[in-house]
Amino acid sequence: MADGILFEERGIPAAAVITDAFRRTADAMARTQGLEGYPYVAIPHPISSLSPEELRVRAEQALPEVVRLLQEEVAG
Amino acid sequence: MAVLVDPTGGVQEIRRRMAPRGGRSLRGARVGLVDNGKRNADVFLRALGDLLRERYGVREVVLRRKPHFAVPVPPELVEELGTQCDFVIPGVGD
Repeated sequence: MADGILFEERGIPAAAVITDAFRRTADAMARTQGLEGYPYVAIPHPISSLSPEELRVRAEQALPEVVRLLQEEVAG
Repeated sequence: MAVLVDPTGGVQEIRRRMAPRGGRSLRGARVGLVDNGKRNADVFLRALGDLLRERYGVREVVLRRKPHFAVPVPPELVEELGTQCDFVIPGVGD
């Protein structure tokens, strides 16, 4: 989250991807970093135990939201 | 000479803004992927990068790993990807 915000501040649209176990942390981090409500993509936790094929499926599922966050104008 | 520091200082509130999105297309773009170093982050990000190339015409993806997941992306990496890339995707774990 903090990383995404660093790039945003430099003028580069970012789409931060987290696993959903970190939602609270991500929300708190966005607040701390001065960008409350910064949107992100949350994929199901965990990914550390997945095979490459399963990770490809996760990537497929995350793709539309990633694209949306990179391209769609968001208030804030 | 001793210097006295007020420990109650107060918290300086920072306000940041998102980058403007308007009109930038993924077609032909360069996309930076920032691996936070957690297990499988790189595999997931590579898969995402492949899909962005295959389906959205992204020209190039650049994968970089940050030194440690617990610290922010170092300024030199922000500068490198900020200069080279049109979009950035940081992620992901555990």
